[in-house]
Amino acid sequence: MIKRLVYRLLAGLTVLLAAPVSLLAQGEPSNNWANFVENLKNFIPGSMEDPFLDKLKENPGLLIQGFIALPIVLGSTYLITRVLKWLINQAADRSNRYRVQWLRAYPIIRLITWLFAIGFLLQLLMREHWGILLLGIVIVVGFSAKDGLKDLLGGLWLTIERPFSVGDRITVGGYYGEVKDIGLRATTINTLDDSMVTIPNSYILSNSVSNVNSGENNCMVVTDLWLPIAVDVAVVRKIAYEAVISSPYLNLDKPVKVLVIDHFRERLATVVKVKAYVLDSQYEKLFESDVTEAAKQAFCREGVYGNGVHGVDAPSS
Amino acid sequence: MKNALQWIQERLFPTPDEEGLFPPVPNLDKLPEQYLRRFDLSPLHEPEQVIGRGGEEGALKMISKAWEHWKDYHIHLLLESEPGIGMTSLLIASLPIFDCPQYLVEDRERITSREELLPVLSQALGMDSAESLESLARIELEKPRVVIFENVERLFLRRIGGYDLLRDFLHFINATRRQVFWIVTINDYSLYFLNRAMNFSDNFQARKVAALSDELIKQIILNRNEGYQMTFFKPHEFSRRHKQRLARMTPEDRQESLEKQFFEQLTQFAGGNISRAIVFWLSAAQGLKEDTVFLKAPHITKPQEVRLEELLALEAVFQHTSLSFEEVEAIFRHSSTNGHLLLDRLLGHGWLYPRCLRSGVQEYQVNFWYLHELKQLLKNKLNRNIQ
Repeated sequence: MIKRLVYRLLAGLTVLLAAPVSLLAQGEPSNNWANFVENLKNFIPGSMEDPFLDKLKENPGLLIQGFIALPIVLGSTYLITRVLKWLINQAADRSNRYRVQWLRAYPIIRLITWLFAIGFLLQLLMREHWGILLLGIVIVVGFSAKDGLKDLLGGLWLTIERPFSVGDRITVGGYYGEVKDIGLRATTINTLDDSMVTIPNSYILSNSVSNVNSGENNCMVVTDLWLPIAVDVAVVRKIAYEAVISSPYLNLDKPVKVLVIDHFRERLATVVKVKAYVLDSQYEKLFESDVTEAAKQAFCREGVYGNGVHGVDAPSS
Repeated sequence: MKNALQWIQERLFPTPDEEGLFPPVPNLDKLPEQYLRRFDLSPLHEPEQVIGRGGEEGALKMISKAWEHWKDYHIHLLLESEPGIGMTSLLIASLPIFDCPQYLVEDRERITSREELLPVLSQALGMDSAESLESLARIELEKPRVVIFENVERLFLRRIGGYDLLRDFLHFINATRRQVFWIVTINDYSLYFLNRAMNFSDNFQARKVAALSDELIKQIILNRNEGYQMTFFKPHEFSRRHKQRLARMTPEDRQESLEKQFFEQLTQFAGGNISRAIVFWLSAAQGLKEDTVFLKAPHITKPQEVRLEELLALEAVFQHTSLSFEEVEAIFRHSSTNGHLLLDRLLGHGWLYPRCLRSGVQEYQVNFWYLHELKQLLKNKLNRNIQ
């Protein structure tokens, strides 16, 4: 069985590469074709008894059918996935509450659509013994783009394993941003300065990825407020807490924590760490900025900074 | 194809002529002031005018049970409800329950400082004046007293330092718990926020005042319309099949069917909120002729889309029930011009409407017409976990 498959594969590959040359050769086209297939049978050991090559010899139109079916099915599938993506984006926009869930669903739906399309194509081609041609194409493409194959497998793994999903905020390869698309070859993330970064899936597979919201539409935001060491902790804690609970971007259903830490490096400082969840991860930086702005205004009003910020150490990172 | 089907349908089942189905539009008089006063949004002042709140499961029974509970355990009552549900009317209706002096602190002013709060509380406790909240809290009353404090959300402003007065108020009512039964009311969305910010309802026996049933809403509207006949015009949305059904009826049955359809639309729009039902009725009332009011159900349009900044401003207004320009600016730390422009836009789109306080300060509150749509937006766009 395996032997037979290997013969067919070899035949398919040879047909794929040599058929156009044969058809364009000088002389009677049908004779050229018949001679070409006969030579092929002699060339591939064990293929003499394969009925497929006889069928191909009689009807070269099968080759053309295969070439037509492939782009039609692949093109239609591509269009269907685009329409599905548009529909899912519409649904996500309508209900922000379930935005991440909608976006997460897309890569799986796309994978299923492609599996159906490939299954349909295989079924269609196998009926006419064109599976070997398809396998030939896959191998030609696969060997000619080894890295591409690695990326493709990486894309499949990311879709099935789901270490992150569309809508998550991840750090990979020094880039931090929202995952916009998990393609079969590469993953696209939108960084905080609105750059779209495309990262090959094989790179993601071989590197560590940090995910801050893991499928939730909110994420924790840690805001550091740097203050002089000699501050009234009760005052700054109250200000920090009220700054965060008054922020319009706060997720009200999650806990808020205010931590006060002394910092000893070069110069002394008090760091107030405000840990809270933003209502939607896309407003992460707006939330952080809003809390910092409100707290700074209140610290200034209360004279917390004393003679300015000269006594405060800057964060090392 | 569709046209051909319509043509065949029209030949087989011709659409009846509309002129014969609905009353001709007479020259209507504008709704007189006397009639409009019946549908005023202000609360009822006589306990007997309040209907549908009694019974074993009713809100009055709930207040009565809380009163009995206070006698043993001295825990105050917090009543939460959606704005416009008739809370003040309910509280007025509850006054006969208490066999001791009562005082209602109505929501007529925003209270922003201890200096403003002190005379309000002194008056509530029947005192002429007091030096401070602390000294007022130490007074000895001859008899227990019931004080109803309406819309407690007017004591806070969502900004740094904006919660101190509300904390002072909580300290004060806790200090007077043995002598005074405090009934505090709050907008349900304000409570959603304050519970997360400062566990507000932990200080009370918290109860939610249920929405009114559709039957009750209809009854209240009909009571207010008492003495006037109703005639219904052709509604905005009208199917061909419905028209054919009406054509087979007598004029009286036809009006009855239109009335049923009208009240179905009204109660669906109101969603248990009497203020929304009244706003719907007033939009529907086209005019009067002698003692007949002519009604046509209004077309319910979708509200204007709002951007994030506008939605956050609407949320702030809803959290405080009403806010002035200056307060919105203080919450968002906007420049004065931006705050004005933002609220003007929301006012223009019908999301807000102005409300004048006793002091002459103009505040803005969410238009009842879009109240439920706003709640839905807060849920969908800001992921707020509200009912």
